[in-house]
Amino acid sequence: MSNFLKVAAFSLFIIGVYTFFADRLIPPIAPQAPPPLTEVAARPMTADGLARLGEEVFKGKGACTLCHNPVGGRAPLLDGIIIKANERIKGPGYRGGAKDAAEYIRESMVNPSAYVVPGFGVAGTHDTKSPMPDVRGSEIGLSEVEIDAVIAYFQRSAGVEVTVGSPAAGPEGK
Amino acid sequence: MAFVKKAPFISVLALSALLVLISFLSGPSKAFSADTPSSPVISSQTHDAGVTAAQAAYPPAPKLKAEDYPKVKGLNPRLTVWMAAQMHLWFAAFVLAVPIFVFIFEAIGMAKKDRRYDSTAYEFMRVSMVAYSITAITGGLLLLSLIVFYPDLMKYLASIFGPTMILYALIFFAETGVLYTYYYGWHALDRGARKWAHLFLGFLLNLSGTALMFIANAWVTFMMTPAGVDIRGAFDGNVWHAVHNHLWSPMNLHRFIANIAYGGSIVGAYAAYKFLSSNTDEDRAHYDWMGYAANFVAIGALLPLPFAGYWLTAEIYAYSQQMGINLMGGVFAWLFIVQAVLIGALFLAANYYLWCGLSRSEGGRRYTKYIKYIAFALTVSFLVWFTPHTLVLKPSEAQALGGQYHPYLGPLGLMPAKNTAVNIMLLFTYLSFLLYRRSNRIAISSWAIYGKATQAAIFVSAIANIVYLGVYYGYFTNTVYKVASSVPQVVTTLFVIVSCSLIEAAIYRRSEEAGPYRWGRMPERSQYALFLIAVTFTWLMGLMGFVRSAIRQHWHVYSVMRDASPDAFTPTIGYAARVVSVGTIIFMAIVIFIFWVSNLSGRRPHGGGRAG
Amino acid sequence: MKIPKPLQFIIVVLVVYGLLKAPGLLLGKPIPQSVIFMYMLFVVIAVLLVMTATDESTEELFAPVRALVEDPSKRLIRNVVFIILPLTAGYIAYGFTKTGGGQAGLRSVHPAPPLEMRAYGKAFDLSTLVNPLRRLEKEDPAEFKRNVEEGGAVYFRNCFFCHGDKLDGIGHYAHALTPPPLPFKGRDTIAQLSESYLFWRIVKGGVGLPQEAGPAESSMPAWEEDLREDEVWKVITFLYDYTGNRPRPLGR
Repeated sequence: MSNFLKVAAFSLFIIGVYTFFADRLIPPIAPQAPPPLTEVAARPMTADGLARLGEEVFKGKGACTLCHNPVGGRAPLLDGIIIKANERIKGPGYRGGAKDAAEYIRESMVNPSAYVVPGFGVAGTHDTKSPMPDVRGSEIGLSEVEIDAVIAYFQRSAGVEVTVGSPAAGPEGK
Repeated sequence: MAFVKKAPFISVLALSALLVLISFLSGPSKAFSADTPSSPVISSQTHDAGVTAAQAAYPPAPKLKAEDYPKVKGLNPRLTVWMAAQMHLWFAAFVLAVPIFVFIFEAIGMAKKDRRYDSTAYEFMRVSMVAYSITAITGGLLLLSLIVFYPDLMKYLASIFGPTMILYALIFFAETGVLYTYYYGWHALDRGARKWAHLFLGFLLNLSGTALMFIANAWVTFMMTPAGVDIRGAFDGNVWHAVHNHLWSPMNLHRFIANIAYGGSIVGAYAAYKFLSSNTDEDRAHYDWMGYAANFVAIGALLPLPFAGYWLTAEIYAYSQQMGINLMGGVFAWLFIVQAVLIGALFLAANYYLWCGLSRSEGGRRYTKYIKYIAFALTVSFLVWFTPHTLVLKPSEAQALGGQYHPYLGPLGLMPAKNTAVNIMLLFTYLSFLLYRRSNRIAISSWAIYGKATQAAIFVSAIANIVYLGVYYGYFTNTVYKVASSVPQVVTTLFVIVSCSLIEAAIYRRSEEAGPYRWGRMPERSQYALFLIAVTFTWLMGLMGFVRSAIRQHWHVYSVMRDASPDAFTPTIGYAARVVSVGTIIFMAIVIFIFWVSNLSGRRPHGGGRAG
Repeated sequence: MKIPKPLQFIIVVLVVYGLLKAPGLLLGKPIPQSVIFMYMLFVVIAVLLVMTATDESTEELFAPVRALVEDPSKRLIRNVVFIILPLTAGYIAYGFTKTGGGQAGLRSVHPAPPLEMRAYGKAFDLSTLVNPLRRLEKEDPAEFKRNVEEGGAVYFRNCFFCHGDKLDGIGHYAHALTPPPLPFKGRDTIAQLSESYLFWRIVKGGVGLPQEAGPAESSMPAWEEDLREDEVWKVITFLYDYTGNRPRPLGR
């Protein structure tokens, strides 16, 4: 019996040490709380409101900056994307179906593999497949309004007119 | 005795309950007709065009609200399911592993005509018989708690995996049959061709057990990296697509190897306990040998595990960058420091056991002076391995350093340093093993000295190579090569192990004994190393199971079916550690009970029937 | 002469401890206490394992302990040791919990900046933002120098109370702040950062820090209400000029 007690005490001690280490010695980092369940944002009535919503989505729910940032090099930077987009759709390597910058951004969000910026494709696919998820489904789950809002945000940042989503711009292309 | 005899009935009972529940679940969702998809062409089209027959048959994943989750007073849903799942996994790992090396031991026993292997194999089976029933019971508990607390998730999964669930139940029936024939027929099928039939039964047992695990893995991995469904979660009708998702194969491999290591460690702890409580030299010798063999299996299976782990991680990254970043870079980065500490403890314990083993033979004394050098290399590697990249600092320290990174420790926190350290740890553990193998032998070939010199040369140049690869490619080239250097490092390690083992075999092909070799001449404290290995494995499995599940974040089925319950948040590592510790204690208590029960039934007139 | 095992044990542990402490004492780059604690724990365990691998050395290692506890003639030493041991443990525990040194924590001093920042009624793209005064350095050194001087004036009217008149992070109020104000001297702070990063930090202050910079909250004010845009750029120019550092170029 004394053997049993010794072994039990030893095992409990080991478990105690591991628990102490994991619970006390490493920094207690609280993971982010899950995003709220309420999803579809009401469509803002003004272009400004749409762009503001877009900024929130871009930096928050959309998790865009997780990859589109200057540090990791995982995805192309989105600064000046309106200008870059206009160049890309005219470029010889462009395979997608977009006619203007807004369409290009939408296409990149819902069908990222339609055109992959050279060097950013999944390894081994010669830039034919993008590592980016479809923002509508997947872990991100943006609504049509939110996609429009992100486009509006880019347009507003670039100083060009917001062409998407607002009532003035006509019915959304669904 | 009575309990063991009843075990078949208990598992069959649990199984029938399982079957009924599964058919209840899959009934309303047409799952039975799902294995012949009406039109595979449609299901493989893109989402936009796919709003046709296939999607009409399979609705998208439900969007749940907090009210959709039943509440049971006094029970936390997630904690209940977590505990049940963890218990089931631990027991399942154990009962899947035992037949694997029972089979191997039986085969070795037949080949070598050594009854010792056979009797040990039989003893393994005997002590784990009750564990089979407990596995079935905990599996039933898990299923019940899932159905009670997460009915919509289970409905959704059953609508996709219904056919595989039925298959699972059928294979379980088959496995149960084979298991009892194998165990109760051990002595009846003991000679000649019958023994071969018995061995074949053992093979069938492993086959069915592994098949069961593969099927269950498909459900789990689907929840992490769903395939065969569109972005809304509507199933495309082809079960194989859902089964063969990104993580399925790496998970199968990783769990298969880990189970062997885990089973070995538990049997080792069993042997250690029997060793400590043995009264006769004969018993001590037997259990010493058993502990050694089990530990050999455990550590042998531990060595390839990191590589299976790399594959698993790579597939996680391939499926979703976000999930990969969550795993390695974000909140869970510190969990891998905890993992490093635990694996380091495993290595230290395994080495210590080998060092103590030198005293089994008088000849071992020749090698004890090298222990300190091995220990030095192991400790240094170990310290490098768990040096964190971002440091926990006091404000005064932060001020002195001017940042969160340390100029001298910083480089040690990076991956190349850790890969280098792990490979060196593996090499020195192998060296301990080599010395242990030599403890009782004296080479008599004239060229033995050259052989040993070659081994030493291989060893030294391998270490130089590993350090060079790690330092040069890790710190003096650009990022692309950083990770790439880990592959040649591993190849170097494997090369050393294989080549040195071959030379070793040649040197000692003709040898004489260095002194009487006595199983059982082992200090008692060495047995605690075996307990530490078993406890550490159990705890580590619990922790890594947590992180595997936790990187799904607030999803039931990642990116497809949202967890809307109040428990959707990701707990901290500290909380998980406490849960895992409680689980480990419960599990250990049940295991002790199992061993106790099996020894009640296995008690024989003293010394009789044990081969020596 | 052979050193007895218990003494070997003590020597090895002390030497390792000394080695771990050395960078802090001699080079001013202390290894954090949290790391030293873990290192020492495993070193002690490893040494114990090596010394208990054979029966003889185990015996030798624990002989003095056994003698101390069992030998009737050692009663005085025993009593002294039994008083000192709990006191030592208490002192160590006290060292862990005393509040003076502040709580150890994981804090990112220079967290990743956002892509874009909104201030002074417009948006700044931090990945491309450059100091408009920087080009003067080559084009018009006299004008540049004048700007630096103006930046110095801004600094001494606003910043030096905390960051110090020598830019060493030791101003009049520095000792009251946790985390302490950062120095600009040396190679560890602004030398590692781009000017757009400094612009972001000055304009948005401690309140604008992302979550990973927690748990301690920086008391740096957000200067957008009190300093004009050009004043911020001037003071940035001054910081680099005075300390002899060069800003880190943009991009990677």
